[in-house]
Amino acid sequence: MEGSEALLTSVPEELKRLVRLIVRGFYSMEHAVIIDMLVRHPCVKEDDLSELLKLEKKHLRAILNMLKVDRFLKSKMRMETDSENRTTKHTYYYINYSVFVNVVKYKLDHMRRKIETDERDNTSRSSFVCPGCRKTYTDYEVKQLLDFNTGELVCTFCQSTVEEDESSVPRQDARTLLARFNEQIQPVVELLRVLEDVRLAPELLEPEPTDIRKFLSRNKDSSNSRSREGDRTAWSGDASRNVGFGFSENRVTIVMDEENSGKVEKKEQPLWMTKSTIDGATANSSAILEVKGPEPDKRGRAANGASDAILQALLVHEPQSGPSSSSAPSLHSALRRASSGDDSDAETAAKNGDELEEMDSEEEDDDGPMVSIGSERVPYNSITSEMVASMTPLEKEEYIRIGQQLYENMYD
Amino acid sequence: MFYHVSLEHEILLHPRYFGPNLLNIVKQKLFTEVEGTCTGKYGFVIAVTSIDNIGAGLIQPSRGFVVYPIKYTAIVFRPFKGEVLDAVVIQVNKVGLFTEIGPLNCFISRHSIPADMEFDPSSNPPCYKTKDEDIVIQEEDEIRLKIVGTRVDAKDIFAIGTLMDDYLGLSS
Repeated sequence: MEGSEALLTSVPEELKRLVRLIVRGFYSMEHAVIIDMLVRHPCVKEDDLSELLKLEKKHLRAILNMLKVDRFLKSKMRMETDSENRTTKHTYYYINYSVFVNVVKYKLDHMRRKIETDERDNTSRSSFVCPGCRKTYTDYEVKQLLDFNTGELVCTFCQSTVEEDESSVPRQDARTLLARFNEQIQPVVELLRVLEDVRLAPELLEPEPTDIRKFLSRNKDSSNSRSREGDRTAWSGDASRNVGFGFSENRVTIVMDEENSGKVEKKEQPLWMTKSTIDGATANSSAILEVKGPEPDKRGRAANGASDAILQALLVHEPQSGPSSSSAPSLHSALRRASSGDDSDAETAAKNGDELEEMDSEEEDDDGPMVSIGSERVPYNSITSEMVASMTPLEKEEYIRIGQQLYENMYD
Repeated sequence: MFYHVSLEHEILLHPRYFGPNLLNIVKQKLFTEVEGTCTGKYGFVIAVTSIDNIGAGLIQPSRGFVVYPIKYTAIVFRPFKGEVLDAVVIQVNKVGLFTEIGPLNCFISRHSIPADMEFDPSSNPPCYKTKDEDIVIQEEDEIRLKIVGTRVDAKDIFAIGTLMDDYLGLSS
């Protein structure tokens, strides 16, 4: 890698490590996470970052801004048209590798210089003072003070013995500071040395935006991760290393969520939806039927307040009431049998029907009790005015009586 | 650090030396005038190794003195901050150690002496020593020190050193 004049088309491992090292060493965890994300995905939208890292937008922006001010990141604006044809501005962020290296070097140099300055300040700080004339001396001036005959330090001004300035701060620390700095910064320096001659291809310095949303949406469609990694190799050249981080983790959670929600739906659907469909359907069908019947309100209430048993009964009888009339439950056949005798029989049969089960009587109302016109038997509800006109007086009387009885039942 | 550098110097010679031995006297005078001096830029001139060129002497008007411009090369000693050097202790007192590195004086403050060494004024000669008297630094001892700062004047250089680093202290 050293001395290679050719442009590198993938970000060298050392550089990535350096970025991570620096950001972990000198920044907060949030910065580190963001940088990690950007190391793996060279150019990411701000919205995507906030979504992926679950950071609040405002917070994220503050962090990004700090990194930008420190010249670690670069950003570019892009107008994008979404599916609803709205154009929105998106800010893409990417790591500014070439400048980053220089920034690190520059800052390290600054640190070193600061430490050296501190050290120099310490050594040139006045550490001796003359008790007579308050004249102060630094270590550098000790030579002039020293009287070799007595071994004493003598003030050059008033000839009295100079004493150590006790108020001067202890400085053992500063002397070893630089050594400690060098020791601790050693890994960074080594990485920098390796990266000395590295030149990156322009597409690495100005990476094209990666459409994280594409990954995400595909994740949401629970697509296989393989094609996604294929995508990633297209720009980063190292797919294997990035596995098991970031998106893949997110993908897992997302998939889990989906599975969970699916399961929940499947579980719950039979419980309440089936019930509700019966309920609603019964109510609906009965409501439709009620249009035929003269008593919608009562029926509606009955259906709503119905117990399970009633519902079951309704279910049983629903199909017959659905079409015109002529499907035959036992009651109807009994009616028919009764009507084959005389009308009073039919009446008692109808009464019996009422006694048998209230529900049945109500159910019966759907078609209405049968009314005989000549040789035919027609359901009460289907009787038209022509039919009424063609009735014999006896039949008509019976028809009216049935009607009265029905309404009587209705309102009691 | 020692350097071998080309330097220039002007010798002012009294007319009484004019004669057959003139050049020898010029050389001799160069040695005595240059060796052992100190300039802020090049440090201490330790020794002249060769005289490269003695220019044409110029007689000073109305004086009779002659000025010879001389080019010579010399070994110089220029102390630098951070340099590690061997020194001889020449004085020990409660504020620290005074040492000599050849022509260079160097002061080591007691704050720059490892904390486990303490000044013992009662011993003769006074010294800095550890509690178990394992290491004793007194006058005439040779120590290795690191220069932490130099004060460079026009004609003198003074250094301050430290013993607070690896492999520094009494060298024996």
